[in-house]
Amino acid sequence: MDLTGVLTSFSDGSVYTVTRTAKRTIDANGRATAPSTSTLTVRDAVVTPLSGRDRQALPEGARGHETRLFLSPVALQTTTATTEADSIAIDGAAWLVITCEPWALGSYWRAVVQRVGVLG
Amino acid sequence: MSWTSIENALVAGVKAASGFASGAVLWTGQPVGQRAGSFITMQFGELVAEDPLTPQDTTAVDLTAVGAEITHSYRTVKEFTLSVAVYTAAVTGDSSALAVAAKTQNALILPTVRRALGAAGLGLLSVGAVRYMPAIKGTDFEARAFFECRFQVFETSSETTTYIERVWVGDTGLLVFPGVL
Repeated sequence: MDLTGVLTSFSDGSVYTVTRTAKRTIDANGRATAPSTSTLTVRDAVVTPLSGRDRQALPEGARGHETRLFLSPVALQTTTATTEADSIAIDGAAWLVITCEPWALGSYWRAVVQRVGVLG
Repeated sequence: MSWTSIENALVAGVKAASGFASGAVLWTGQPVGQRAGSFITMQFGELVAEDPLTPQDTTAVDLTAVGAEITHSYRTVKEFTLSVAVYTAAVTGDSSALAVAAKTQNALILPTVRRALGAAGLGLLSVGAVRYMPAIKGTDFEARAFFECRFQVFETSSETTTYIERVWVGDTGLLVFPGVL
């Protein structure tokens, strides 16, 4: 059963800008270099509050942060050994992608995002 | 003294001592996210200033130059600790964090490494004990070993405290100090 259309219908038409940061490299003096960034636009995304169960799954120390569920038709990046976490502009603030996994009921990605600051 | 050159010299020293390449030795506290492979992080610890209030040097001043400012320089001996942490995937053998930390601990006292550190104004006072503390990372173990070193460095600060307001010249044309004649 594909519920992609159902989820798309929940979208309020907002367009979200995602900032993707290249993995920082370390120079010969042990300092991180300034990373390059690129942006992509996400449409038909749905932003909802995070359930208590999802909040419990967050790492200890991160459960008290302002957190939302970002259902996106495109895959988003988290912090790994080769990638930096994507930053999404939502309501004038930057939100960092903590986890991102395929949504089981359609062509969507289920990303948990945490607010990290106000956009400049 | 420049902290940038001190940091650079310390990284070069740890790289030379450990054999790790550029990019695998880094300062902590930077937004670099997860690291892959084996790497070493470095962090400054306690910084102690000894006898900071004794002026060590005063700039040479022409005592006949009315209006000349007098600047006092304070050279302070400082000691600081450097925490070195080694992270490796191998938990045993010559590539393990314990082995790398032990090798680095040893090699830091080699003359070439000490000379290079000395060129940046750094004196290595002591190298501490290695502690091996493997920990769980994800679903596996990661080898982690730590040790601390103590360094000494001179830092100079200066301020302009006063100036020559008046100069007395005697009959002989020589400089005369009030109260002396």
